[in-house]
Amino acid sequence: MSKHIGWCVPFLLIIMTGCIPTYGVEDNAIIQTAGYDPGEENEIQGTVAIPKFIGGEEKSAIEEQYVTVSASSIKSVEDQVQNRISQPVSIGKLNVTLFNEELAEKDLGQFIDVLSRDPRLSRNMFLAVTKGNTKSIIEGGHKKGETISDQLTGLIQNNMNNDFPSTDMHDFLSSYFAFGKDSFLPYLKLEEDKIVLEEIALFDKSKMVATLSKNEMFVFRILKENFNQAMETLNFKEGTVVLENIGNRVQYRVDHRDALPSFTIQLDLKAVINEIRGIEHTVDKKLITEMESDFETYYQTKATEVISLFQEKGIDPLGLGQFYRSRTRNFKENEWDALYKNIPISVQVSVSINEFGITT
Amino acid sequence: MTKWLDKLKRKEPLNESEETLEDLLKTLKKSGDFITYSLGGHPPCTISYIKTLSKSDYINDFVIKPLKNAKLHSLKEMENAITVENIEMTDELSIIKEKIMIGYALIQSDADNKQVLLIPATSFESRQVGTAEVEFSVVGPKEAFVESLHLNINLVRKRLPLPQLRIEEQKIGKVTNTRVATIFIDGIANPDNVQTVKQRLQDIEYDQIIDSSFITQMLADNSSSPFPQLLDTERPDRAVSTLVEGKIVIIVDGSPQALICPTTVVEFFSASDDYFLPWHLATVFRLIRLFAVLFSVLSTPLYVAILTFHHEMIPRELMATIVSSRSDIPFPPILEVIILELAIELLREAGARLPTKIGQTIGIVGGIVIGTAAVDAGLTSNVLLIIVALSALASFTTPVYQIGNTIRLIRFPFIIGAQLWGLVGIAMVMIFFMGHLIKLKSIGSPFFEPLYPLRIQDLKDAFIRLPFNIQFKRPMLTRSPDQSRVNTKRVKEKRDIDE
Repeated sequence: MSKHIGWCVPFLLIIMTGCIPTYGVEDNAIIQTAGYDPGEENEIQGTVAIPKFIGGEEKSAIEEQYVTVSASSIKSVEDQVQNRISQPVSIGKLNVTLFNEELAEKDLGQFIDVLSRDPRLSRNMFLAVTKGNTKSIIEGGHKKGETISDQLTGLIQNNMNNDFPSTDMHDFLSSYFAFGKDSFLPYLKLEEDKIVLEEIALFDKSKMVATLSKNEMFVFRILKENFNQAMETLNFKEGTVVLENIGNRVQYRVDHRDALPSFTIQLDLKAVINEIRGIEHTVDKKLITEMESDFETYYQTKATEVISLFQEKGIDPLGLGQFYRSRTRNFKENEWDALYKNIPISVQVSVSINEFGITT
Repeated sequence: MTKWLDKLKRKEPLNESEETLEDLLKTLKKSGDFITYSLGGHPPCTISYIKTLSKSDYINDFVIKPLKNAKLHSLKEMENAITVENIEMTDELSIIKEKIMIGYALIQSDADNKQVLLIPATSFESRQVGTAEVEFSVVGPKEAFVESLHLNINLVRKRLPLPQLRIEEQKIGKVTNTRVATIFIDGIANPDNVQTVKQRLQDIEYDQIIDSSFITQMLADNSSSPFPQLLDTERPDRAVSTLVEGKIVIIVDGSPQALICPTTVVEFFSASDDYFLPWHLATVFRLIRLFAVLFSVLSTPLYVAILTFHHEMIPRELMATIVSSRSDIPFPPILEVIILELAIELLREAGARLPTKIGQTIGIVGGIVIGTAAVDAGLTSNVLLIIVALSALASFTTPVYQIGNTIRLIRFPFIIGAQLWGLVGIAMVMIFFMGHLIKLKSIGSPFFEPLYPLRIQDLKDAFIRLPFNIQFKRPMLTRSPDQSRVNTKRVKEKRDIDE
């Protein structure tokens, strides 16, 4: 018997290949962008964008097809889309998933559950929250030669090279499932016919509870991670100064000595000055030292503001809880939430300006 | 019934019917180029030789003239009178037959019935030594082996003025009686390997050995493998450098290709150029060549697998290019690939049959023309055309022709695997070939050597080539009794003086 098994395995392998229908990539309807809006009576309205690649002479011209369906569950959105499309729907190339703000404020838990379980989906996918209908963003953002997913991924990716903290589905899920850490997502809105990414949507577990505006974004990012890009415009005396970050370092420290632990966030910011406008004073070492101390107080107040907002809302996008747990023996998970709101968190900022250009 | 069986069991392909010298001469006389005539004298003697094998002028000047002038009575006197070296006097029929068939002249005397004189008068007609065409290199020696064993051994000998260089000849092939020389350096080559080669050569039972490739197939440890297990080269310099490493070279009379054994799979991808260029350049070029082989084997199977099963692997930016080039094609990717691969194979076969090397170039250009027409007609996509053309180009980078053919062939199982099971199929076929390579041996030595078994020391000249001043030792593969190439102590002393 065992002698025949050696022949059975390859035989079965060859026979079983008939069980899978195969389609060439051009025969599929490839969903690249999906958006979810609240529908009527607890239903979900799903909108997908499917690019149509045109062969022959005009190769660069890409048309896009938009399908909007109402469904009672997330999975049945895909099913309903299939009812309206002649080709087999393929969801493996999904790049961006958008959620309407209303859904996000209610609860995204179910969506995250379905998305995180689907093995066809990429973890590099971007998730984002939109102000207003996702349908209008998906249908309104298309430009010639660029699909909506190209546009949205480009927008988010390039902002991650600037002042937006790094985000994708992997990051989102990791902070969503972690203890003592809350997630955030890009917050998109449509201004006339342009999609704008200027805010951050902050989540308490699966519920969106707050947003951070453009001028808090940079502070949030330097509090969260080390990076070496991004510019920021700051007020100084009667004019403005454009500061470019060339490498920051953030360190969390925890002091266990008291009953209530206290946190210290040490922020070192190395920067160069790009532009000075409206300041009637020769730029020299003295002015720079003045600037440094001025900006230090600015960042200190700004950071404290942001952190007190987090504490007030009971969210922890910086992951202080996770940090504290990793450094505390006999850590009690159920006491942390109550503790977090009252913990003193102090921020120490040191700004050093390395370059300010040649001035006479 | 028994008669029929006896016929099948017959051992020798030709019946040895000649039992006496007269019989032999009678058989030979049936051919037009066999010359025999009487020289007169007392007692009268006869000279016979094969005109097309011997030098007639030479026989006239150095054999017939001295015999005519002097009055000679016995064969012994004749032997002294003829001013040719290596004259043999014998009465043994087998020796007479062997020598006459390679161009010796035979002298019989009526006075001495049994004994005959055998005078060497073989003419070594051969093509001039030309330049290497298959393994061409821009720098380095240009000489290549020719069809004459005599000349080929000369090419090796003059590069190795060494008394320890041993050349052992065997005759193989019951009908062709081809001379096969086993060359090695005594004291550097492993005697076990030499013994194995000689034994296997002796055990060959076949009627004809036309070319050294016959020996490659007959000596192989696994004759069903698509991989050649003996390295063939037309460059004497390459043969010599492997001899010095402790390998064994087999040269077959009538074949311009010498065989090198034992060898490893990476040696098939190393060119002589690698040793003529500075080591870092050589390393990069060798790595490019190895990458080209992988690309050539795997690119079209990956195309089939990704386009049929794994759309997610296509980058977003490439999606539009691939999909729009595929959208008008009526075939699935597998058919498209098979059509184009077959077209390339047809062109290659046609190119190989064309008279000159230019034929091959024309074939490739023709391929591109046909390919472009196929794209315009909407039969294949232009992305695939580029992939197939590049993979064909990549398979030409192999310095050894034999392994190039193997690479040509093993692409097809990969394509079939890719169509049946996608990337898993490619992995399965890869595992199959890797298992085969790991198991394979060349004259008893592991074929996949520096990688399996892992011999760190031999990696110095496998995927990379380190500078000569690091390569102190001969490859472990040959298990040479004399391991070190240089006297390391003396090297160290010389360095100290320099500094």
